[in-house]
Amino acid sequence: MLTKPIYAVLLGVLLVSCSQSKHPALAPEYLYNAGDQKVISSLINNKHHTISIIYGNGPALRSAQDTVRTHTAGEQYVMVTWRQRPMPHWYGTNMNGKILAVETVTVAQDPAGKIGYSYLLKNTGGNNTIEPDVSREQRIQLITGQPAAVLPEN
Amino acid sequence: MKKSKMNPLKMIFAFLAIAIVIVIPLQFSSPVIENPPVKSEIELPGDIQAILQRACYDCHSNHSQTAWFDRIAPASYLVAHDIKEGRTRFNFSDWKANPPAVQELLLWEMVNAIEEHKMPLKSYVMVHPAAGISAAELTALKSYVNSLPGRHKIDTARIIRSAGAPGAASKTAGTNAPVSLNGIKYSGDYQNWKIISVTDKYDGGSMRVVYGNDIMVKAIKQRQLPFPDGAKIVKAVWGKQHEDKVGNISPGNFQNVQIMIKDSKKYKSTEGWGFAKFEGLRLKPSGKTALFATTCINCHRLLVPESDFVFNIPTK
Repeated sequence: MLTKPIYAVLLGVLLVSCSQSKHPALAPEYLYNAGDQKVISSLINNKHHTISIIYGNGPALRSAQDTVRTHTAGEQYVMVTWRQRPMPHWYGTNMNGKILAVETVTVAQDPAGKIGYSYLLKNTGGNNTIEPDVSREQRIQLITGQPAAVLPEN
Repeated sequence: MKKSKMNPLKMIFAFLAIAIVIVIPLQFSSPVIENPPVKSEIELPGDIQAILQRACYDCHSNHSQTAWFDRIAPASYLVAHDIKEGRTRFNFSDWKANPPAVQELLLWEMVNAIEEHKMPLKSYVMVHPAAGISAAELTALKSYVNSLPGRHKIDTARIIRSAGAPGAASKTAGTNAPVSLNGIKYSGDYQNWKIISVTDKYDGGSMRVVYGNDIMVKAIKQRQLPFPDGAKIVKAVWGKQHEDKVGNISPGNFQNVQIMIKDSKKYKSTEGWGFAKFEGLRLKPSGKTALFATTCINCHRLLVPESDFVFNIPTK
């Protein structure tokens, strides 16, 4: 009489343990949709424990690929900064975790022909401001000044 | 009463007789575990050497010291298999067969295999308890790998921006795109794909951007694991330049591009993933034979079987 419930419990445990996935939970929220923009470069910052990608539209990428950096109206840059986290199952690599901030720089020209930059910071990491010790101008300079990371010719 | 007591005894005798009939002849065909001559022994600090000698040397060196029970068939078959397999993965007694960068990567892989409780093998530690590695020993191994040259490697060379060096034939994708030894053709399409992760591989001084094709990105968004056929991952790898005043590190020279393509039928022997690696801006296919992919899957199979054998995916 007693054995039947025991078998039932054992079977239940077996079924539960078989159906439980060993797979880790994927985190699509760590992805950033850059639309049609291309990667210009990436940055690691171990002082702030962040890792970033600078994306750009066509004119921005062309400017970043040119060794003589000149900026023209229409360039748009987006720098996405993630919190660094240790890569699961591999001690020796850090990777991106949560998105902390998205900074957008747009290059425009005023009627007098002077090049100007607009800067927008969208903080998605709560109170984690990125690099509070750095001014807006320095951020613009960093974002628009990165040379394109070299890739094989397409 | 007497009769009923005899029966179990008879059964034991019968069992022993069968065991003797099977086990004794097995001994004649039992594999002999030999130690080939040492070619180039690994040189490590004394304390590190002691840990690895105790925990790894029986299977990963030409100094295998088997216990008496390891030499009795059928156990000896398993032991011989483990030693053969262990020596092909890496052999501390033929250490210089590996280029310096591979030597470092292997040491990091050992640390990870230990940390993930994949090595030493559980079955081995069960019968050789002295081979277990303590938390303090793992910490010592970690600080050792962190002292290796690759850990702080900085790319100070002038950045080469084009494969078109003087005298070199320039590559045109599509017409003469390089092909890996297992038949995977390089394509620059990934430069239009979405990014699935960005990494600082500080164990070897490189930084990476990992691209995923639409099938891969869709699978991540739908939290679909294992990944479907047609999923492709491409990892672009650069050296790391000096840290600037505010702590930013930018990519240095382009090093290589690494590809994983999911096709569960075509790449069945490597868990459904086709691996390829192309070196430098001229995209020289990596490896000497098509078996190079075995080296890739061995590590992926050991450490990330739950993630469909992929490291660089966003997970919680």
